[in-house]
Amino acid sequence: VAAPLLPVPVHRWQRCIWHRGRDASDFVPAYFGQGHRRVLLVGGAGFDPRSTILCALLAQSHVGIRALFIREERPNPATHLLSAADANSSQLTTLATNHQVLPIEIFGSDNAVIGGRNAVRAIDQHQVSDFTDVIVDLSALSIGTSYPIVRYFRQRAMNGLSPPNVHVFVAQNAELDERISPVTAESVVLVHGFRGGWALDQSASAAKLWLPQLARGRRQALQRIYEAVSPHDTCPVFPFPSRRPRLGDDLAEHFLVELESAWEVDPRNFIYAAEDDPLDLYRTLMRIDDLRQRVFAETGGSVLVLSPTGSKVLALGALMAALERDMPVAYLEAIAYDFPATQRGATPPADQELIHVWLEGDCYADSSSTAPSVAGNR
Amino acid sequence: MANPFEKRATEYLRDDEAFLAVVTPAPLITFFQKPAQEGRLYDRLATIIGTPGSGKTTLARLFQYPTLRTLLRNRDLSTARPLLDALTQCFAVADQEPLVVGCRLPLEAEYREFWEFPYTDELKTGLMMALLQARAVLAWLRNLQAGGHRLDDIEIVPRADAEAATAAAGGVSPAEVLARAREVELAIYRVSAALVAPEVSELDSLAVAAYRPFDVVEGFRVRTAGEVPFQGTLLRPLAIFDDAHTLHPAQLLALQRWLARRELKVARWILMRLDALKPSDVLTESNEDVGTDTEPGLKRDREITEIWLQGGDDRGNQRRSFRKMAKDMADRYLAQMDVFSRRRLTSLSDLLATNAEPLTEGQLTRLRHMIDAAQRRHNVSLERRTQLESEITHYFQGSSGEDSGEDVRLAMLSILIERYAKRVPQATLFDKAEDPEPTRPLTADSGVADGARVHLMQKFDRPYYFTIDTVCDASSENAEQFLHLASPLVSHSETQIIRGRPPTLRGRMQHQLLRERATRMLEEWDFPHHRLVRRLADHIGRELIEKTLEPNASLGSGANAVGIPQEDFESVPDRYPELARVLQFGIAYNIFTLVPDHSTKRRLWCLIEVGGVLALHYGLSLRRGGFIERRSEDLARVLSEA
Repeated sequence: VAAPLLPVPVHRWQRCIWHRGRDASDFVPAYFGQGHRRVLLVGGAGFDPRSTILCALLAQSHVGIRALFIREERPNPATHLLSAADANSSQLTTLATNHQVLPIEIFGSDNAVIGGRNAVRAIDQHQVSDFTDVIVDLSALSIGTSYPIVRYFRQRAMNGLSPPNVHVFVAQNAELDERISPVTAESVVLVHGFRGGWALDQSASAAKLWLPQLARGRRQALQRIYEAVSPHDTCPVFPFPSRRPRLGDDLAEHFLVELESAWEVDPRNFIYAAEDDPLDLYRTLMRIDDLRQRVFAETGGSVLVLSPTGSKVLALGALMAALERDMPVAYLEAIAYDFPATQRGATPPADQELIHVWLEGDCYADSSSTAPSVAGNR
Repeated sequence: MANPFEKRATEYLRDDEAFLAVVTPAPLITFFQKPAQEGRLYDRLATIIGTPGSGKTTLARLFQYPTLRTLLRNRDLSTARPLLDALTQCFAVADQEPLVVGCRLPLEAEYREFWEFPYTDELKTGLMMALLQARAVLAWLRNLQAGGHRLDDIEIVPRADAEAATAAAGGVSPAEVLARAREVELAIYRVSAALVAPEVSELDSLAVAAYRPFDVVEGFRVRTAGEVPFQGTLLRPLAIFDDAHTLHPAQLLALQRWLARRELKVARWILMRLDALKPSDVLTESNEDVGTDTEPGLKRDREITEIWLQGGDDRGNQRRSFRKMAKDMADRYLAQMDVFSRRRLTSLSDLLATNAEPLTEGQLTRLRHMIDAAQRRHNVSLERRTQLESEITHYFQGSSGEDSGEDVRLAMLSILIERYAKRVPQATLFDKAEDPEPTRPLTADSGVADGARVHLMQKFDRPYYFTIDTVCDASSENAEQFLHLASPLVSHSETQIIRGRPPTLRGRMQHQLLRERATRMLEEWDFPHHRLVRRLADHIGRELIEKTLEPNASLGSGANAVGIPQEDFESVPDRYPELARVLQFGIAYNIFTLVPDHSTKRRLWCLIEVGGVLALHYGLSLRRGGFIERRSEDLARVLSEA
């Protein structure tokens, strides 16, 4: 894992340590299995079939971990989802004996979204400084919970507090992301910790560009976000290349009314981001932001508003851009999920490819100027 | 070609010119003129309550200073004049100058987050109020600048008795007041945006210092560049707090109490949805929170002006006003579409055919056979049938322009035969009187005619929902719902034009498009508790259809409401809190409308009327008044079975 360092150009993760599939699976025992590593795992213990993949891999690799499993509590959950969550939770607690399950209320009594704040508060109450590495597994966490947690650990690492190494994992399965259909809450909110100066007077005259990640079944949700953001311009993100080559076309058809009439999107503003590569979207967002900052510098600046509503991999790319440039992330929290019982077993967990991004830590020895090149660095 | 009807909310039109071109003045006159002329709109807290899409934010934007300035600049345009007249009647402008400096502050989730801080209620509320005031000051000054005034040409006129608060707010120099507001905003933002809330001892002193510009500002004066000294009218600051339903109930109550104070010179409005209220407030219209004994001297009726954008007593009048407003709005939207404007097609009403489409010959034959069978079954003599037919003819002679095709006449005859059968004494097998007289006379009226058309729709798929008035009535007095329903009609007409066909949509096409859109809207519900609302709506819908399709159409047009005895209904929040919650959201999202104190059969009822979208989906009449009698436990049972 140790390797010579290379200078980093403009962006924090222009050269990023990340792995996919087999490389990611090999990285887990090779790195986390090192004797001096003390690893904290933060992941979801919900109904998502991907909940257990990483934990199982860590257990197979005989990596000793302390685990904090987040149980996102929503009002009146469906019975079959509750049983699936119980089963996953039970499996997780068997795999990681040194664990704690943290129930996190996502909604307040008045249906206000409080999950992100609650999650960070719950983690902050734990002794997290005893570890060399923290892994945040996004696979079974909603973005309202996972984004603030990642930001929390990254902020600690950047302030010189332990754990110094921050890793993010996600089990990639775009089809599964599409099948898990959220029933969204009423109000559009900004993810906790991802306000990006929204509503501040200093950004009142900034040119707002909204970048929604398109996904089936999210028309109403995205329309509501659009209305809340009220952007000057919209650049929808299409997953392309994707495993289903026609997915982009299908989405364009699905969102035809919005693209044409409501959001008035010029087809030249379509953004294509590789479905299985978080860095592709990240770099595109950074490029757009760079260009706009220069153009709008004299007229109040530019704000990119992200809405990562689709696949988890693209959401990871959006997270990295939002972290680096303090971009606001607007979304609608799920008040419940539709995930029919018959579909739960449709994709065997084994088919799902892991993606690992090393966000902060030893490999970026001097984060301001250099980044290393290592095996697996893509 | 973009369809502006899909854009729906006018407030998302960025340019004031574009926005003003599509705004209709009717709601201003309907809702604001009276309180303005009674002096209740600007001198105390005004609460404006409506369903989503009812136009609250559009109304708020009209009172923003740059919007008023743009309107005055374009006052000679024909589209601007009616708006200007309406705003003049609402005392927002006079003598071609604005009288108010409005600013709209959306109460986004950021404010709700204050409630999650680990501080005392007093501190949490104080932080929120300070942030709101700082943002209002920033927005007023920003709007004045956007209205064409330099900062130097703005004078802040303070209240004479508020020296200390004036100093704390940054004095009276606009530049200093602006700087102070920015500092306070940033300091409080840092607290609310922090991942982990700081300890009380770590709070920035700027965030917790006394900052009360609302207690200071009496008004603004502006001058043209170089003019000395400041002259002219004192502009009244107006703070519009939009989307107040996102606040925690305790925060909302604190905000209302704070804004209801008499000594404030700032005009202040709170805009919110019905779901911000407690179920008991929505269901029984009795909000006792503000102005209770705990706040001596604060009387709700006297201190707060309430404006409800839906509901109210004169529903017939409201429906007529809405039709006028919706047609005006539709025409303004249509004018934005080149395909129509190039052909001088300026009115949506003209694109929607008004003539009914009768049944086919085959369907008519089937209908005739059914009536003959009913006649035989009920032993109705030929003379009696002829008499009923004459009654129908007589009815149509007295009505003009009504759809009176043979199919409608036959369906009416069918209803009258069934009514006749119910109004004659039951005969024994051996004692059959020849052509007995009914106990009550049988009359053909508009109810029977409409019931006949509903029956024809349900049995033969005869178009029922067509014409612009139907689209308006199906919108439940909600502008956004109207645009949503009208959108496919406009798109289809546009397609016909592009294909070189006449732009007018036949009744069958209108009927089909409206029902399809209604069903899609139902399927796309995703508001809180929508599954339970859907369950209740489905149950009610089935029962109403059953009642409507009674062969004798006992309610004429049919039922489109469930009636609960008023005293029984008033106990719902206490006895069945879940039902109350579900009804509250159903009402807040236009699924149901509540008609309390409806007097029928010497009893008071509370009607839960289905909204237009549900009526379209289930195939119910849009005429009001028909209801089925139920008890609250019947509805509670539906939910408990979920």
